[in-house]
Amino acid sequence: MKNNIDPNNTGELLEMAQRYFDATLSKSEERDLMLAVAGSTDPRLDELKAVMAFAACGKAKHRKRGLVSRMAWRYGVAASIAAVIVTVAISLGGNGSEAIAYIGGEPVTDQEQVMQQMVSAMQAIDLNHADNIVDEELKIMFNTIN
Amino acid sequence: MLTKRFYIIFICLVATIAISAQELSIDDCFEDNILARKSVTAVKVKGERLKAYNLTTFRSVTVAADKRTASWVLRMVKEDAANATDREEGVKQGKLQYAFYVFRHKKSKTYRYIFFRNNKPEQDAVTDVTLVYMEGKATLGELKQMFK
Repeated sequence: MKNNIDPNNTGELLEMAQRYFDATLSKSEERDLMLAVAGSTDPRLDELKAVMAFAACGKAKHRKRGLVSRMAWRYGVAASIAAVIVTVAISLGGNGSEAIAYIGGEPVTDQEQVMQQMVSAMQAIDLNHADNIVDEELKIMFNTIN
Repeated sequence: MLTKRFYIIFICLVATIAISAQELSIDDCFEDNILARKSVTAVKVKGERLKAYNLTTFRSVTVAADKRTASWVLRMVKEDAANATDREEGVKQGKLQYAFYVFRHKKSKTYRYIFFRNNKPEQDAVTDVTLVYMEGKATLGELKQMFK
């Protein structure tokens, strides 16, 4: 990484250090200062080094934890939404309209015929007189439903 | 905190999946391998066309002169019978001749019905049966009125 500040130019470093503590440095100037200070042995810059190192550590730690949590949360939410959509789609079977009959293994899609088959099936069940077939036989009824 | 929220959502999801996965054994009676049989007449209706009946799903399978398929359908019906909320059964010589089973979903106030009928009760073997499955808000009383 290219540095625009000479680590040996202590005067410039001290001036920038002052600006750093005044919080008037730009991001790129801050980065350049950090790189330059790392290569300097001047004890007057020790305080700056300590503060910058502390700030860098805190920033790195915060960024890492925040990023992991945010990513986990986003993935979690995305997975949850996807799972809900899939579940609802499966449970409702698409919830679209469907009308098909199979007669002798052959599919029939003619709507009139399908509805006719539906009514025929219900007539075959004969909801109202189903018990006729067991008229004089044993008829078991549990919790009779109406 | 976020992890905790994620776990709560995950648990809710698992619960949702578990509830929606309450399948019935008779669902297998409406699979393609059954519907493709020559001895079977089937109907599958879902959606708009059933609004007039206050239903959301209608399925039926009628088996004619096919002992193997008819017996299998009867077995599936008996499997589901154990979990029915309400039931009405007609038995002749120890054999199930007709049955109405209701599966009530209290929270959504919807019903699932299974209707079974042996179409040749005079025969010893079960060869001809009709199975109807319905789902919706219609009560049994309403269905009896509608399909008089």
